[in-house]
Order: sequence, then structure tokens, then C-alpha cells
Amino acid sequence: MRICLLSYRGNPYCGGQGIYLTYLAKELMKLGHDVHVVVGPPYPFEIEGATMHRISNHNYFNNRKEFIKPHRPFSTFSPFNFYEFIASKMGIFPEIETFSFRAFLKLKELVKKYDYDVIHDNQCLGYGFMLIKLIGIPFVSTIHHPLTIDRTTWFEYPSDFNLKIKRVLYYPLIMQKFVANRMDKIITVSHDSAEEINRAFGVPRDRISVVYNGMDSSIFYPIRNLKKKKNSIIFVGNVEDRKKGIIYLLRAMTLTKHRVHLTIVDGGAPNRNFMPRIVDKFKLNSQVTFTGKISMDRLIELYSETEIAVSPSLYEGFGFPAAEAMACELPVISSTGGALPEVVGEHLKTGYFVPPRDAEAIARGIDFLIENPAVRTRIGKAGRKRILETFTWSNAARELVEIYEEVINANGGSGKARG
Amino acid sequence: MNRFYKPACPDPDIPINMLTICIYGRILDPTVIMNYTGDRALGRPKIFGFIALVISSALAGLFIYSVFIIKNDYSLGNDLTTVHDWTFYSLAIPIGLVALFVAATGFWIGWTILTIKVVPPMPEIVEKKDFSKIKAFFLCLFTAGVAAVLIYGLYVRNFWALAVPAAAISLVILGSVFWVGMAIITTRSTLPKK
Repeated sequence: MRICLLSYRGNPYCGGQGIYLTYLAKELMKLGHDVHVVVGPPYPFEIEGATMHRISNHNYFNNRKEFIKPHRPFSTFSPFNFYEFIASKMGIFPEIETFSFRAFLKLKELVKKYDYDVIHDNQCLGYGFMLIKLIGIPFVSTIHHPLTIDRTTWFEYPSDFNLKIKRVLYYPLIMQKFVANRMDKIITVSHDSAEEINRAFGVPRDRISVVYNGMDSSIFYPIRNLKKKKNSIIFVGNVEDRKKGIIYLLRAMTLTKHRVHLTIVDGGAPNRNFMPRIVDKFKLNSQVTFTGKISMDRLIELYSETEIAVSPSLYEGFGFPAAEAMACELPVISSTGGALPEVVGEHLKTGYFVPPRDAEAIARGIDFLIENPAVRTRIGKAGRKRILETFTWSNAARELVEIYEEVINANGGSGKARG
Repeated sequence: MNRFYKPACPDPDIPINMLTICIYGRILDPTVIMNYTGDRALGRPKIFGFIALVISSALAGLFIYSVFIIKNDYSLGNDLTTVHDWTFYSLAIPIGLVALFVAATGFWIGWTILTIKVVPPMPEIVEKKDFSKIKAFFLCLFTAGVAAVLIYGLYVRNFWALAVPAAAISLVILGSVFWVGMAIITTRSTLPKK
């Protein structure tokens, strides 16, 4: 089968989308499929064996000042760039939409050379996909979680009117709802996320398939010879992403009986602004360390040096950080937000559950696990076992191929057969 | 066969019928599109594609006819009530639609802020009272008022109902061009050494 994966961002260090793209491409190739990747910046690293087609943009939304390319100064006036420029200045996030149109133009060229059997998008859902559909190749999309969740959780935090206007404009919900309902199939990464997609976008439940993400156990494993730091906890995630709920963890740290030290790995937060002020407000400066961007090796070391991981998210479509910590044999205090219970498993067996937005419960959980090292060890070992058995990328790829075949058959055979 | 092929137009080898359309020298023949997907019938999206194509072409023709071909008295001192209905609405409808779209977007933003249901923020982190809902209410009121005034203005053919939105649209585009121009002038003209 020749599979074309689309992703408007592809770097695995920029979030779940990049991780998803990289691992799926590798696993699909292991199953003998020919994989092409049409991807926007930041680009993924070279995926050996996959054919990469890069689609550039000027990233006007984040590049507020130095957006002129000295070697192509007038490129901002090209139609897509100029639209992107004006929309960005108005607070709209146009990257998703323009990627979809650019991907159409790229695919229009590529289909002359390659017979794709299926196109698989990774949470873009731009209007340009309606044109890609006209090419006539079965087209599916993965939605990790609907962005309605991000918008709602953002509004839970104090902010002024102007910021709220920007947030309403930022999320392309109308477009994604429109496009999601016109895809051949929607794939998502948890049953909870499937329900949310059904609720937010109105996609019928029978058109949504659940394929769990995987976890690379060759990367995430416990390093045995490293000594655990006493009363240490770790949080991994973008601290500026309001749905991660770190504020409840910080509040919990003021309520614990034991003085704990928190390491925050927030490589995905380019503009750390809100959270340091909260750390200051709770007077936790001496108990919190921000690592910034670190290498994967250092992250594994940190997991191995720490006693407890906390995932206090208000919502997670899947919850990679919780799964990573579990793969490293760390007991995870996890909220019951979104898909976390599906990933973490059972209370006091493979994890420790607390309700979302409940700082007191997190504090009780931290104290309980600090006081019970045997329970920590037991939960850590059971957690790793669960991750290794349930969440593998090879399973994910196999299930995806079944969905591709189902969609291809429903569309009257493969691209080659149609030829 | 590729869906788009580019012979000189009109091409004697290709039967020109009502469904063969020539755009920019490219002939888009629906029968070719139907064949391209093999045994499958023309899909619903493609029918919509053709409808869009026909309607947009017809509207573009109507616009050119109404604005440039119908005879009007454009002498000094003439107001908008004397121009032909088609001429006026050919300009008023696109400008009005853009203006109404902007007003509707403003209303939608206000409505979203006003009606979104969220868990109240943690009291410990609230620094000042939030008046967003009140401001959102006034945003809804303002944008609805602007839209009503605009529609009425266009109905009575008021000059300002056309001029204000047209000026706003033009200034946004010109302002963006100005901004980019300024950025080009102030950007370093050579690539950095590293």
C-alpha cells in the first residue's frame, strides 16, 4: 500500500503530532508499506525509508518582527503568504488553513507520479482538504482531541477581554468541524476523545475509529543505577498550555505535609510567562526547577532520578507524559481528565487517580506515595507492564492499516485499482 | 489521464459543448473528470464544484455587465440613487457582504465570550475583577447595531454605507502592504555570515 501522511507540523519535539507522525511512518514501513510524508515546519528529522515532501511557510503568527526573507523579500506578497500575514496580524492562526491549500497544490503534482492508496491527515482539517477530496483518493484524518477543549480550558483562567478575543479567533473550530464531517473516516487516540469529537464536531460515532498511540519502550525505560532524589516529583508538558492543569499541582505543593521538589520539563513552552508568576505567588521558588528544552537522554535520566510523576491535566486526548513516566517505572498521580484513565489504568494498581482541578487530592496523593515506598515500586512496575503490553506503535500501525483497507474498499478499491 | 490538459482553446479535437469550459487556456471537461475516477460516478463534491464554477462565472459576468456596460450618468453631483439598480447592487452586495462578515465575526466573538460555560478560576490566582462578559455584551450590541445600520444604509442607497466599509477594506489591505514594505526597507539586505 502507498500511504501519504499529511502533517502541518512534523517535529517530534514540538508536541504529540510530530511523535505520532514519526512513529507511524516507521511502523507502517516495517509492515512493508511505502510511506510518503507531506509536512510543514518545524520539519521532522529524516525518517529513513520514507519519502519526505516539505511544504514551507513564513510562520507569520510567531515571527512578529523578522518575517522578511532577505533572499526573497517580496515573497510576503504571494497570495497565501499575504493572507497568512494579514490573518496573523488580526490574531487568527492561519497556518492550518494555508497548509491545507498548499498540501492540495503539492498533492496535485505528486499524484501525477505516485498512486497513493490512502491519504492520512494528522489533525489539520483545513478547507483545502475539500479540494484534496476531489482528487478521489480515500482520505482519513486523525484528531487527537477537538480544540474546543483547549479553548474552554483557556477560559478557566483569569485573562482580560482582549486576550479572550484573541483566544476565540485563534482556534479554527468552525473550519475543523466543517471538514471533519466530510472526511472518509476520523481516527482518534482514545475512546474519551472519540466522545468529545462526537460532542464538539457532531461527527457520528460510527465514523470515528479509536487507535491508541504507542510508546517507544526502547527509549523510555528505567535506568537502574541512578539514585532517586528524596521527595522529588516531575511534571512534563507545556506549562503555558492551560489544559495541563499545572497550577493545581503548584497549589497542591503548598498543601503537602512533606516538602517536595518539583522539576518541570517544559521544552514545548517557547514563551514562558504565566507560570513563573504563579510559582512566585505561591512562594515556591526554592521548590521548583524549570529545565527548559532538554535532550531525550536527559529526560529519561530525570524520570529515573525522580520518585513520583504528576499529570494533573484538566483534559488529555491521550497523555504522552503519563505514559512515558509509566514506561520508566514511575508511579503516576494522574487526574481523571479526558483519556488519562484509559492510559493510566487502575487506581492504586497502575496509577493513582485524583479528580481534575482538585489540589487537595493531589496533595494527599503525593503524601501517600512519599510515605509508602513499597506502593510506589509496585505501581511503577505494574504501570510499565501495562504500557508495554497495551500501547505499542506496531499495534497502532496494524490497526490503522485495517482502517485504511476498510476505507479503500468503501471507496471502490485502491488508487492503483482505480487507475 | 490527467484531469487538466492544456491545448490551445478552442481545440478542434475536443467537442465544445455546454459542459466544456475554457479557463486560462485550460479545458476542463467534466467527462474527463468522470473517467478519471474509473467506474465511480461523478461524486457529489464534484457536482458542487461545477455549480460553484458556473455560478461564479455568471456572477463575474453580471458584475462586469452591471458596472461597466450598463450606461449611467456619472457626471459630477449625481448621487447613488440615480445609478442603475444593477450597477449599485453589483458594488453594494460584495462590499456589504464583506462588512457583514466582519460584523458577524465580531458578534460571534462577543457571543462566545458571553455564553461559554467554564469552571470559575481558582480564587488564589484571581488578581482583578473580570468584566469580560459585560464587554462581550456590548460588543454583541455594537456589531448588531453596525450590521443593522449598514443594511438600512444600503437599502436607502446612502453613500456612506458603501464608502465606510470600502474604505475600511482598502485601508486594511493598503496598511498591510505598507507594513510589509516598511519591513522590507528595514530588513538587513545581506544574509548573516553564520
